Amino acid sequence: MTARTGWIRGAVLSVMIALPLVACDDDSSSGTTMEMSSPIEIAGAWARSSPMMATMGAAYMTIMSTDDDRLVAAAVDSSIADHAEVHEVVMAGGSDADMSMDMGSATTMAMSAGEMVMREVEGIDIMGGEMFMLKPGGYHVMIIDLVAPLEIGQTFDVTLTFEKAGAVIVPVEVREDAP
Amino acid sequence: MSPECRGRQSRLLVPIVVSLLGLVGAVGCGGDQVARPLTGIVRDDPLRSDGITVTDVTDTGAYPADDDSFELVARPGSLLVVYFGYTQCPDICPTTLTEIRTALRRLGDDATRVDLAMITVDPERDTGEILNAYVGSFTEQFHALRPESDDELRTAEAAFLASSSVTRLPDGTVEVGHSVNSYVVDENGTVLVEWPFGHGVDNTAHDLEVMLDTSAS
Repeated sequence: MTARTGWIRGAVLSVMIALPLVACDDDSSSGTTMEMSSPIEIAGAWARSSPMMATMGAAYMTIMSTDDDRLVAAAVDSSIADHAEVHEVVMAGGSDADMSMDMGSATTMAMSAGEMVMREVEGIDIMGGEMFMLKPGGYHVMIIDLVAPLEIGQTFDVTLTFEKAGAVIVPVEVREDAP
Repeated sequence: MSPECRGRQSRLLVPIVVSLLGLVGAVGCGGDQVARPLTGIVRDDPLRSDGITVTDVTDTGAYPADDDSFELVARPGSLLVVYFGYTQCPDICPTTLTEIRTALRRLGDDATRVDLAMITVDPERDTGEILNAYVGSFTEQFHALRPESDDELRTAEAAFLASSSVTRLPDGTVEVGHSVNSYVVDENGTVLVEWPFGHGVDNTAHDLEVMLDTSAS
């Protein structure tokens, strides 16, 4: 009896877990909430407050999608900046690392060698069910030609465009450092 | 005095003697033996920046500007953090400089013994006014350094094994590549430690504390 109850409970739980996944694929489903209607979920969106005279900013966040998708564009309102682009920081080659030095870790060695350069990317593939982080030193939304410095406590919207999910408006909090 | 009483006294003496020995040891260490290891990159054969000068455009009432050129060494008893960057850098530079600022805040009064020198790798766009305001956002004790020639920049970079490149693309955008370490220099121009990008506030503050303790003893 107890074993059977346990089995039923397990089956109900499985269905409950499976339901939202199915619902996400079908936008016309009437029983879903707003969150479930979009396969995209954004968490921890923030931008660093501007040093004085800075004309560029960067926004970071974690993107989750239930489906495979591709981030293809970013935009901000003209009251915030001229425009926004999706950028990546990459190694630009050239290495002067002295191998005799006492290195902290393999990561340290990789990061200490050569120059880093920031480049616009055409898109970022987001794998369904996985988290993709935009973070300092990696991918970020570059905010170009700020109208005014980004001030701590301020919030502004970044519009991300995904190939399948379309436009997603992300409120971004301005902070001194990562949340 | 009973034997029991003498026993208590010796037990009390042991920690005192040990404490004194520790104190003597700490004072005796001088600059050669750092009890707590640094978390950044420490080279067997340290880099040196004494004799290397860069045009100083620092202009602030809060911190006395030096001559027109600044030698990349710390004030006596202090440390100098050296960073190569540019003000239109939205990601790497503000991330690193914010870490340094937060670490300096943790030091409290000891932060007065740490200066920050930022050398722009994009002097064409980073005017003195822009550079001053930008570096001054991170600490009051700063040097805004703007090389007047390519040679001046390359000589400074060479001392730290740093490098940079500014490329003007056909669409009008400017692509800047730069090495991303920061360096801590003592009053003799010895580079005591290098911090890679993303070294973290905890590690940065720890290293500054250790080096300030060492330079004070």
